[in-house]
Parts: sequence; C-alpha cells; structure tokens
Amino acid sequence: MVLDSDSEPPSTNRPTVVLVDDHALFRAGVRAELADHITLVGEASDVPSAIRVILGRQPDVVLLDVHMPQGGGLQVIQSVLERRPQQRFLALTVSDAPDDVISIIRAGARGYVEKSISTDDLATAIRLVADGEPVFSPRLAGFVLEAFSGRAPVGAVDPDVEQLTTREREVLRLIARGYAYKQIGLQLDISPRTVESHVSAVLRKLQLSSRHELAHWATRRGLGGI
Amino acid sequence: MTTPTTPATPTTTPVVIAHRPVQLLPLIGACLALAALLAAVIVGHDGTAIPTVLLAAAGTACLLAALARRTWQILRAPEGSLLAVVGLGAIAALLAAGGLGLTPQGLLAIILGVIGTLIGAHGFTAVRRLSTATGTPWAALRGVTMTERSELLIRSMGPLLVGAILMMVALQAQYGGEGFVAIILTTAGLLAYQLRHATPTRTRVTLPNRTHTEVAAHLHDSVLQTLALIQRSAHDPARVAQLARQQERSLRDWLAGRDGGTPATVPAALHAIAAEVEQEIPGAAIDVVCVGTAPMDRRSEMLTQAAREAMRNAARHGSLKVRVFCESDQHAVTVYIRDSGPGLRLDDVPADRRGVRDAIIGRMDHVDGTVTIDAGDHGTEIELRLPGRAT
Repeated sequence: MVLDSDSEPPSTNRPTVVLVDDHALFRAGVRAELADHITLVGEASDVPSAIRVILGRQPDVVLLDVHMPQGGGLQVIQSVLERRPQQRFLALTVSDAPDDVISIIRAGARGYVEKSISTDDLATAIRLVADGEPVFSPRLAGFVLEAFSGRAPVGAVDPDVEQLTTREREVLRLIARGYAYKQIGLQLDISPRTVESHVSAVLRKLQLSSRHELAHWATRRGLGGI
Repeated sequence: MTTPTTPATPTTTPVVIAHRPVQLLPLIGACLALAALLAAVIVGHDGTAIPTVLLAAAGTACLLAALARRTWQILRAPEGSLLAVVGLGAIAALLAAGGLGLTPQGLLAIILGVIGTLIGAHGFTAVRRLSTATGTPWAALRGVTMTERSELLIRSMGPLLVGAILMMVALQAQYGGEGFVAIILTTAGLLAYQLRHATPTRTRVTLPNRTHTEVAAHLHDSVLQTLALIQRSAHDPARVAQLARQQERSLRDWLAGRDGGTPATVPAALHAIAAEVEQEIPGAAIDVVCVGTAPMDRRSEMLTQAAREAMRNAARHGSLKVRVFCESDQHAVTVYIRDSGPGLRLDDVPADRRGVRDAIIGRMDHVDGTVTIDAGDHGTEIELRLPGRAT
C-alpha cells in the first residue's frame, strides 16, 4: 500500500481523526508524521476521555491503541458504537496475540494495522477506513486464513459459521503476501472495488462467527507459535 | 547432612539460586539436633544427659519454628493445606500412638520425618507448578528434549520421592509396618489429588517455568541493554531503527517461547532465518506471516535454506522491507518472499552471478520443489513450493 502522493488533492478532503493512545510519545510521533495527510481533531489517553472526545468531535476515523488501561480499546469501541453505530475505528497495536486482534475486529473495528507500519501505509489505511473500507494487515489476513482453515477437528467447528469462498481465500492470501488492493485486483483480474467487497465479506463472517469457535481457534493458534 | 532449607520454589537458573536468602532457622535447628543426636550416641543411650536434652530441645524448637513457617506458606495454597494437614496429622497420630518414648532412635525418626515432610512439600510444590502451568505433568513433558524431560522429572518428582523415603525409613524404624503403610497411602493420596485437580490453562508456558526473577534478568540483559544502546546512538536514526527492530523481534520470540534451540517447525525456522538475515543486512525489515505448520525434515530444511537465499536477495537487491508468507497444508508447503524493489528476471541474471540459480533453484530442484519468480513494477516475488510433504 504505497501512497501515490502526486495524485492526491492538496489537503482538501483530509479525513478527520481522533487519536487514542496512552503513550504521549507515540501520539506525538503520529501527529507529526500524519500532519500532511489527516486533520487531527482530538486526542485522548484513557478510556473515559476517549469516549467523550470521540462522541464530541465525531471524527471520520478513530485511530485506536488496542492496549490501554481501564478496559482498553475494546471498551472504547463498545461504548462508542452503542451511541454512534456508524463510527469507524482503525486499531493500531503492537500485539500479535490473535485473540487481542480478533476481539477488536469482532467488537467492530474496520481495520487493524501494526504500530510499525510506515507513515504512507498508515495514511492510506486511514483513508480506506474513512471511506468505509476494511483494512487488513498481512498478519491479520494470516490469522483469519488460519481461523477458517478447517483444520479444527470435526465437531469443534460451529456448523452455522459461514466458510470463506475460494475467492475470499485468494484475496486474503494476497494480502498476507503483502499485496495492496490495487495489485490484488490486477492479480485476480477483478476491480479494486470488488477486492474491497471481498474483504468486507470476510470481516462480516469474522464478526458473525461464534465466539466459541474463535476462542477455540485462538487457543490453538496461541499454542502453535506464530 | 542435608538441611531442610531446600528452597520452596523450583529454581531454573543459577541467577535465582544466587539470589535466594539462606534460611538460618532450619539450618541452626538441624545442626543442633544433629549435635544432640551425636551427643546421645557418644555419651550413652539414655538420652537424659542435660546438655543432650538442651541441644535436642533447642534443635527441635528451631526445626518446628521453620516447619510452622513453611506450613503457613503451604497452607495458603489449597493443595498445600491438604498436604500439611494429612502429613502432620499422620506424624502426630503416630507420635501419640508411640507413647512419646523419645529414644535417640526416636529422635532421629522425628528429625528425618520433619526433613522428609519439608523436602516432600518442596517436591509437591514443584509438581503443582508444573501442572498448573501446562494442564497436567505429562502435558508439560511433551515437546521437550530428553534431557529437559529427565531434568524436569528429577526436579519435580525427586524431592517428593526422597521426602517419602525419608519419612518411611524414619517411621519404619520407630513404629514398624503401620508407619510405612501410612506414609505410602498419604503420598499416593496426595499425588492422586494433585493430578485430578490440575486445571488446563490455555497459554503455552515454556519450561522451565519463568519466575519473576528470570523475567527481570531477561529484561535486564536484553531490553535495558538495547535502550542504553539506543540512547547512545540517538544521532544515528538508521542505527536506532535497527536496534529497535532487533529488540522487538527478540522480545517477541522470547514471549512466544521461540528462544534458542533448533526450530522444530517450518514457521519457527522462517522466523529464525528472517531474524538472522535482518542482522546480516543493516536496515532490512523482514515480516513473516505463517498459516498452518509443518515439521522440519531434510526436505523442508532445503526449503527454508532456499527461502533464506531469497530473503537475502530481496533485501539486498529489492527493498529493505521484505514480506514472507508461508502456507502449509497436506498438499504442500509454500513460501512467498516479496520485496517492492525493481524487478528481477531470471533470464537477465548474468552467468557469473549464480546465487539465485544455485542457491534457490538448485536447492528446490534437489527436493522436487518448484520456484516461480514474478517480477513486475510492484516488486519481485519468489514462490517456493515443496509438494507432497510426507507426514
């Protein structure tokens, strides 16, 4: 996901963002890096103030650290979505623990990226989420492929869970290999828009799949070493 | 003579042992009691000489104080309280039944019994820790090497057996067959209770168990050292990034229990190789994502070595940021190595630069694998496929 800065209209429709992270240094870094790409309308360092700021400013995107004191990012997402269901979240995390990642996606985040992401990629991800598109990091794509791999013993899998289609698997595989949506479209000979709708479908299935199965999977994943 | 100062925590590293305070009370008690015993043996068998009685009383008092303290510690754990009640109850009952006829032999029996109880409690704690960490003791023994396995067995079961044997010898000497049977029953009952109540936990805990001291030692040796280096390199952003990257990887490996040893699976091997290539090529950042797993064998060894060459090639000639994706299923193990640099066409590779051909394609040919190179404007991706993994 490399930002093509030449084709970008100069600072007109920049997405508005609220940044939630309990590390002041990290907030300062993001603020400086993204100054040219977003309009920062608020910051928060804990759960209660985050909920207040988000509901007050109603930004296009909330950039949210998963791990925070007092219940963490999960608590923020749940509380905000109760009152503002259309709010879009992009989770930002250093954690590669699958249950952390999955629970945040299930709670309603539209995407997940690692904190080590490059500035350009982060800006692209924010814009995608602002446009209502999901953002999967390669690692998350790997997690999801594993979750739906069907390697679980028969009986352990919830029969109600809708499995991924072949096309959705192909898309996830390409994301895991590091392809941007545009490149995936070229590779599979479909439009980037179709790629996005496949990813949205995956996100929906992930959010609908049973807690039991995900817990089961996360356990296996945790046991297997990443 | 072994003193009953055996540490209550199963120690795993010399660091932990070195930091443990010496427990003086039981040590003094054991010495006094031993002195009293020797005195009784040397002076005569009546055990009534005043110095002997004083020594014995002082020693026993110290030992009992130590035992009381240890008992309190054990009592705080649910299984421990059962051990304390049953063990001490059995000893008290036998003492009462024996009518408190304290001969030197009887004194020896009591001392051995007390020591046995303490050592047994230590072994019991070790077994309990092992079980709560991994579900059951035998679950903990899966997936470790022979040496580690025997070490664990000795460390956990050893003290328990030694304690039981000591108690048996002591009680047998004093009270005959009933003492013997009582101790066997007590030990067996405790083990059965312990195994039944072991609850499985879902996190993988690498063995030996990590104590707080060990965590502190690790952080001290790794993270704090790196932070110091970063402060000293503040003027050199590239160096700072590299240091942070290395530390992040090593901490993640440590948290995931991937530290040290020969990798047993293809994903583990790829993670390790990516870390090595990052070390080798300054600035390289190689992210590895794996789905499924496959064991390491001769063929997958070739696959991972080919992947190493591909990672090197990508980081040197493509872009410093490299993505590795590995998918394993019953049909094949496939590894994708992707960079975003200028394309590499195999036909364009000059004959004198045979690295790619020999190191990657040669290796994969050797194990009936395939190599596909996709070079375009967006970068180069090398696909290594090893079909028909024998499982």
